[in-house]
Formats: sequence, C-alpha cells, structure tokens
Amino acid sequence: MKNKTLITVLGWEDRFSFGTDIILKEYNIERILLISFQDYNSMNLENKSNFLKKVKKSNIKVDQVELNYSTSINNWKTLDLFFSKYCETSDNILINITTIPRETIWTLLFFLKKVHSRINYIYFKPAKYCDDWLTKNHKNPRLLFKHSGLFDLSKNLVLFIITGFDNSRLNSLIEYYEPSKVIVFSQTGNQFDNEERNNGLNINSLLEIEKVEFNSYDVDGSTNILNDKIEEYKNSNIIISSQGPKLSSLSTYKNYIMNEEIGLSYVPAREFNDKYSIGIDEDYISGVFDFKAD
Amino acid sequence: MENPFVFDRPNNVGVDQFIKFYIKENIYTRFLESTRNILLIGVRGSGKTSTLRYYSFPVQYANPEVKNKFNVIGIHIPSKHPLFSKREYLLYENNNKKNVVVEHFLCINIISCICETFIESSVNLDLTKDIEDVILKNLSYILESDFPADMPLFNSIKLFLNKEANASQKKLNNENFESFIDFAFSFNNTVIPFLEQLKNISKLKDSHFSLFFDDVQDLGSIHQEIINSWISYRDNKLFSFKVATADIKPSFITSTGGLILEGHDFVKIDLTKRLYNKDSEFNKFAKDVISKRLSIANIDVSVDEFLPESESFKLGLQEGREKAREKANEKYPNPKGTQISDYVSKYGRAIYFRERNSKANVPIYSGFETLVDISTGVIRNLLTPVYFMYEKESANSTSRSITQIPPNIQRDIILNRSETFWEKIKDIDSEIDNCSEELGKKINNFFNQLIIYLKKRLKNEDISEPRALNFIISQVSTDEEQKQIDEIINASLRSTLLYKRMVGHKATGIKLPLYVPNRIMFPLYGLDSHGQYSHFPITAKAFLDAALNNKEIPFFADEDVSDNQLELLF
Repeated sequence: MKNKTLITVLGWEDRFSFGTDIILKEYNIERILLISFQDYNSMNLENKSNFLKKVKKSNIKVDQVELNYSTSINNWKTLDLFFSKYCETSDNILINITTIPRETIWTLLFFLKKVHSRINYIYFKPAKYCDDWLTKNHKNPRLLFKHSGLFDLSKNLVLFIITGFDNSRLNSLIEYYEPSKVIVFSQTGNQFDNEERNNGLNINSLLEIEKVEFNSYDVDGSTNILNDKIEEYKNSNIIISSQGPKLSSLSTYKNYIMNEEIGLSYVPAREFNDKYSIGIDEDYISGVFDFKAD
Repeated sequence: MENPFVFDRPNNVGVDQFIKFYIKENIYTRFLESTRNILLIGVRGSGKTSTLRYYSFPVQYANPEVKNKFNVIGIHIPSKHPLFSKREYLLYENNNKKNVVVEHFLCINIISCICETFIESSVNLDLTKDIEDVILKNLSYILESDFPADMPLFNSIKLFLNKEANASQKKLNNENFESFIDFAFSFNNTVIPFLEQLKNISKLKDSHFSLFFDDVQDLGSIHQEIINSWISYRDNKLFSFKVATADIKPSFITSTGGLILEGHDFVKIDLTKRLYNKDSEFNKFAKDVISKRLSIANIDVSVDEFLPESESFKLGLQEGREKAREKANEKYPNPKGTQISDYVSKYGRAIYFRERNSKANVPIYSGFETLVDISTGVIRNLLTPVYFMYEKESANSTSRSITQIPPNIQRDIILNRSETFWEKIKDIDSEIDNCSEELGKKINNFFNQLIIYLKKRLKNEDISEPRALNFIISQVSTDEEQKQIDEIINASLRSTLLYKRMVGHKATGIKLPLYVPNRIMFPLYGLDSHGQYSHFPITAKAFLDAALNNKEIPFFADEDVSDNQLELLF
C-alpha cells in the first residue's frame, strides 16, 4: 500500500516499540502523526527517543501533537485545531490503537470521520499484563464531547459496561450514574487469566444487572451484539463505557455512529502502572473501520 | 415475601408505598412547608431525597393527612440525570455562553419536572378546555413555539420540552454549536412565565411553587452557581427553592460572582445533627422506621423482639455493670445523688469490652441498640444491614414468615459489613475521585492508629470517658499543617469514613468541627460501637504523625480535662 499515514500514541509499554517495528516493516508508512501525553513524558522518554531514531532512519515525516491526559477540554481543542489543518485525503490511514486511551480513540475517530470514509486499524496484545494493579486513582466518569447522546427527560438510564481488568473503574461508573439497570459485557476466554481478573463487579443486590458474554477481539461480532442490546433498550437512555480490550472502543464507536442517542463515557485514571504489560503477541489484530452507519 | 427493609432510591418507590414507609420528622415541617429558600444539608443516606419527596406535590396530594394540598406545590427536581453530565458547554471560550447552555438545560428540567408532577399526581385541577387553550396560546406566544394539540395540557408541554431537549442536544453535538446560544431558555424567559401561566388554573391561583433541587452536589459548579443566582432573587411570592446537598462545603457563589448568605437568602437545615446527639432522638426515629416496616410486612412483633440481643452479649454487659457497681461502691463509700449509677453507666460497658479475653471471638454484636450504634445516625446505614439480615434469615429459614433475626445472623452481617468497610478504607484511592495512592496510605495509617488509640482508651481505668469515639483536632499551628489535615479529613468525609458536626466550645464559644467516625468500623476490632456523649482531642502533630508516619497517637489519661465541654450547634 502507498502513502500510508500512521496515527499512534507514544507509550511506555514494550508493545509500543515492538509494535512500531512490525508496522514499519509490514506497512509502507510515509508519514506519522505521533501523539504524546505530556504528563507521561518521563515514562515515555526511552521509547520516544528510540521511536524518533527509527523513523528518522526510515525517512518518515513526523507530525507531533502534545496532549495532556488530565485536561480533556484542551485535548479536544488541540485535536480540533490540528484536524482543521489536516490535508490528508486518501483513506490510507492506519491507526495503531494499542496505547491510545479510549477517550482519545473516540476523539480521533470523530475528527477522522469528517475526512475519511474508512480507516485501517491495528492492535497489539501484550505477551502478559502486569499481575498487580493496572490503573489507579480514578476520576469521575465523563461523557465524551459531542458524543454525549440525546437523552430523553422521561426515560430511565441503562448503563452498558464492557468490563476489563480495572474493576474499580466499573464500580465508579455505577456509583456515578446510578442507572436503573446495568448491562455488563464481559470478555470471553481465559487469555491473560481473564476469568479470574475480569470479575470485579461489586454487586449491589438492589441493582438490576444483566450479563452478556462477548469477544471484543471480534470487532464486527461485538458491534452486532451491542447493537442488538441497544435495540432492546431503545426506550431507555443509554450510556456505554468500554473498559475491555481497546478494540471494544471501535465497536462502541460504530454503535455510536449507528445510534447517536447513546452517550459514550470514559473513566480517566490518574495513575498507570509503569509495568502495565510485558512483551508483545506478534499475532496482531488489524482491520478496516468503516464510518458508514450500516 | 418481599424484604421489607429494602432501602431503594426513594424516587423508585410508588407514591402509596412511599407514604406507607415514610416517617415524618415534624421538626422540619415548618421549614419545608414554608415559602422561604432552604438549604438541606445531609450526608449520603441521611434521608434528603425522602424528605424532599415527602413534601413534593404528588405525595402531599395523595396523603390523607395533608389538608391544604394546593397552598405549596412542591416540585421534586432530581439532579441525577445524564443530561447534566453533558460537558459540551465547556467547549465555549466565553463564560456567558457556558452559563447560557447550562441554564437552558436546568430550565428544561424544571418545567419538565413540573409537568411530571401534575401528570403523576393525576390531580383534579378542574382544567377546562378553555383554560388549557389559554395557557397553551400564551406559552406559544411567549416561547414562540407551537405545542402539540389533542392531548392534556401537561402532556403537551412535556412533549414540546422533549422535542426542545432533543433539538438542543443535537445542536450541541453537531457543527451548529454556536447557533444554540440564540435559542436558549432562561429562568426569566421560560420558568417564571410558565409558573405565572399556571396561575390561570383556579386551583393553583393562590399556590406557591417550591422547587426542590435534590443532590445538587452531583451538578457541575456552573450549575450550582446558576441555582445560587436564582436563590438570590428576593421575591419569593411565586416560587422558592429547597436545595438538598451532600456536599460538606456547599458553594454559595452565584454566577455573577456574588454570594448568597445564610439567614438572608436562605435558611439552613442540617440533617447531620443526628450524628451526635445526647438524647435518643435518632434512636426513637430508627425504632419508628423499623417498626413501621414490620407492621407493613404484617410481622406482628416488637422491634426488640425482631432484633434480639444475644444472651451472652446481654449477660456480658450485665456482668460489666455489676463489676462497675462494685467498683463504684468502693470508690464512693458514702455516695451522693447519682454517683453510683453515673459510674455504672460510664464504665459498665467499658469493663465488659476491656476484660474480654483477647483470644476470644469478638462479641456477638446484636440487638436494635447495636444497629442504631453502627448506623452512626444515618438511616441508610441502619436499613441496609437489616435488609441483608432479613435476606440471610429468609435463605436459612423454612418458615414463610420471618419474625426474628437470630443474634448470630445479626453478628455475621454486622461483621461482614465491618470487614467490607475496612476493605473500602484499604482501597480508598480507587473508591473516590481525586484520591492519590499516597493520600490513601495516609488515610489507612490514620484509621489504623485510631483503632489502636481507642483500644488504649477503652483499657484505661483512670479516664472518665473510656468509650469516647468522636474527636476534635487541636493545636493546629500553621497553615501548612491545616492544609495537610484538611486533605486527609476531606477525603475521609467524602467517602463517609468520617462524619462532621460543628460544635461550640462551652467555655470559649469558639466553633470547631467534631469528627464522628463511621461506627461500622469498630465491630471487626471488637470495639464498642455504642460510644459516649463525649470527645477527645488529637493534636495536629499527633494526627499528622499517625497519618504520615504511621506513629501511634499518644494517649495521656490526664488530657481528658473536664472543662473541654462541647455543645451542638444547630
């Protein structure tokens, strides 16, 4: 493929640098939009230096955008400004979602949707997640700008949560929104000790909870499952939050495109484990994300 | 059979059911039925929503005890709607525009809640087609909009509002963001004219509209500033505000940067007064609540029969009192007045708890009084354990009717909840917003040291108040010390590890905060959750040493001075 532009977010995990190597080897990248979060500069120093060396060697043009994880308003405005000058017209865009916060994935998709009809995505699983905590010290959940749904004053709220290994994020969502019902979408399979780690729902017996199993790694399949449930609860206000594998951010965004009544919510964390994951599973997942609402 | 102790959100309970369950506290009546602006402060679970709901029109209308149903029309306006979680207004650079967007959605919600109020209560307003037409025609003129025809008045307005809410959300989410500003609703151009139009209805012509904003701590600061601006309106003939918050430090700033003043713009009602009360006001209230639920469930036993105290616990306490009496007789060979009984009441329980074998299991925490103690004056803390006790007994019992919760089940649930509470403390940095790992560690250190300190107090035979559980922080010498203390205290208050009451020093009149630990933390450590009407001081240095360096809080019996008396401020 020609003229491929890569959009990636600088990360401190092994899978960022190993993943970049794979992308540079297997894709014909000519230009890169490198997004970095200033508040994590110190964790990213080594990976950033190596990354810039590699791309310089390959003669790839790099545009850098700096965001700040703790200021979502400025991030939105910064990306808005960047994309107002964005002149890429080909759909040959590859977005490496591996180390992009879910909120930023959604934000990027919003701006890319204005220009492109489809984009390509790639995701690298790690070889292993850290056995300890992954994120800590969560802030209150927040609805994504421009994706905050169309809420009806008379309807109840149903909260869709795609669960992951950060159990406290799950409970903070429920406490914050006080929904009348929660639909929990849990990842199938026992990869990364999923069955043991993905079970943190602090069940309040007074709250109605429905459990649905699905496979986030199958973007189309999980999009369909989510869509069926959205259809089932169309007489409710719906907020979706994705805590599971990053690929679920794509499914949820696709659902948003199909149903602008739903709101997308994100639970930011203040602390990330610097050993969040180890290594990389070279058997990566890639595909095409179509912005059409079908 | 359905568990009668369910503590669901009061809004989810039907009006008739709600009237059956609600226990009216007459001390608030004259405030909540008044036309003044009221600020209702109470921690989570203290009954703010129930109180507002009780005085809301649908409940008052359905309540046979209420005589003048149309004098004050209470409109319950919950803040927990995802509409208020929208943040697009933050994308405007101009602060006035931010205010315009926020006010728009607040107004839509107010009018929608007014419509819901009249739709829900199925009230006979003697509405004629002519009156409906006049109101709709006037609103149509004022709001420059058409209203759907062929449906009842309030349904028509509600449908119009839904359409408006939907259209304005679309504008905010789409490219024509700026166009929103020209079409926004304001309190002056929508809510007030709407209320005035309702005066065309004969039954409402003399009514006062009382707008009950619930849980405003869940709203953004701009939302709260706008509501404060409305509170600062001086003319309360047509409407007033009753604002409920769990915020420990509610903001009084208005959207123009001014301040609303207590006594001048609003009257404050503090539901936290139950947290530390010498008399048994909360005890009586709690008994009424349990008793009423037993009666609704046709469980024909007294509260004490339903929640019996364990025989061994009772016996242990009795033995403690006897030992205290023996000691009192030795100490006061020629007793005056109530010296002996005072001594027994002060030391009896302490003797039981302190003389227990350290290797023995914790006491069989049970009985209604114990439940009142562990609730720390918060009604949700009272009902939730009873709910789980009932569930467990139902699962164990073959009988269709539960007429008693055996003491061992009470103990199991109390210990389980105490353990869960300590798990919450352990993971406090994940539990609440804006709590770093470091702050979480300080909170853990402090509460662990507090338990050690309380054990030392309990075992000491020389102090007058061995079961004191509440504390003040004394001798704060620098602003930096105060800042460090506030960070720990405020996070503990937000997560209900602690509760706070303002008290006055009897000798000096100085106001100071009294901290009341959530008493569910004590059973796991075998401590007495009953406590005493007293407090102890922790110096700022000792507090910070405990929190920052995990150092023991020093305990000196002679620090418990008698001139350190406090009195409650209401």
